[in-house]
Amino acid sequence: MKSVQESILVNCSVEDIYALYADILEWKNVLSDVLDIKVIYDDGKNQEFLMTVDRPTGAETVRSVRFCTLNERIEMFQPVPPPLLKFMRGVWFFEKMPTGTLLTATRAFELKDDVFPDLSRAEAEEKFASKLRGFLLNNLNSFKAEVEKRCVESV
Amino acid sequence: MNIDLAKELLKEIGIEEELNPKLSLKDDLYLDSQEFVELECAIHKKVNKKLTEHLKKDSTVEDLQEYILNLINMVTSIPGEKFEVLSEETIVIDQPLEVIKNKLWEMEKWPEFLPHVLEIEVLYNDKIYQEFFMTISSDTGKIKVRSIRSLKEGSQMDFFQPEPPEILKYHAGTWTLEKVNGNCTKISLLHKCTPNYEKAGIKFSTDDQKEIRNHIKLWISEHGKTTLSSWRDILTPGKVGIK
Repeated sequence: MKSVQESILVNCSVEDIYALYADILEWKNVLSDVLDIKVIYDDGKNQEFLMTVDRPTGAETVRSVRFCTLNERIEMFQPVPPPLLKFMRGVWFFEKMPTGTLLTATRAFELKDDVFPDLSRAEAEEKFASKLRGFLLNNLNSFKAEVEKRCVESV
Repeated sequence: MNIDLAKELLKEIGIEEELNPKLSLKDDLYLDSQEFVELECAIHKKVNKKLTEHLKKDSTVEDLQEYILNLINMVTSIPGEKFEVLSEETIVIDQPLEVIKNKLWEMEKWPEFLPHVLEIEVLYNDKIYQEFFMTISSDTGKIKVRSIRSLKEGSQMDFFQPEPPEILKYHAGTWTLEKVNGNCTKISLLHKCTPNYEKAGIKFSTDDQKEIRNHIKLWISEHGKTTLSSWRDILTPGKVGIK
């Protein structure tokens, strides 16, 4: 198993940034590659949904499950992991700071055995981790930009 | 006015005569102070909640019904969550916490010792999150439910049913384990749900949302007690299930 982590400081309250992440239907408004979201279940704490995203190989639909703890953390896993992985799970943490909110995203994953056969296990994991860090940073930056724009507009 | 709950609780303390809503507990049914205490104990046992105020001595049968309903409806809502009915049941079992935690978490073994669980089909299990189908036998035949669970730090397990029974809109809960008295373990089972008022209204023959929540509350409370009682039988040393 390998883990990656990225953090970013957001100039808004924990409540604002948490609310944007927790409302899964908002993701279409934040991330340009999200084509569609179908909510299967959402009781405010537990969520299951289908998200269709635009990929170079075409539209890809992924089923995700999330466990939300108000203004603190959102955990997620994908019951049917992406093709290269045995599993992938992660957490977004929301931490109040003097100047806003420290937003941290973590992911833990395990590659399938036959992925990147020309690389050692460690090299294969690092290759995937590097790509995952890029996705995480893009995710954090996109949400930061959107929530800060909304905070300015609401003043 | 429906006075079924009042009748049920009065019967428990030996009052079995014909009742009507306007009868006074003290002047018509002749309850003395000791019987009021016994009645409050029976109510406490029924609703599994601390009584914040005593039942008034000049109460009528319909006042008693209202008193019980108010206790049942004392919902502690959880910020950010959409649940309207909560019910928590607790037992203490003479087994170490780790033994109980493993039994609860290893759902694929349940059919070996839970008679009503016919089959478990594991869809996903990464040691922290699980998704599985569970086929159980019930009075109405076989039922197949999909559950998703997460194992929290410490000894807590959250669960929810993405497709709950049709009388519910949402259904989730938490198992919490706590070490007590040396090698014993306290198990708390919290059920959280919100009725599907249309379907539940048909089942319980009422349009009154408060009344529907009362029915659901009693239903999940009974379900919780039965579940914990089954686990106590399985987990108690010397009984089936512990080897």
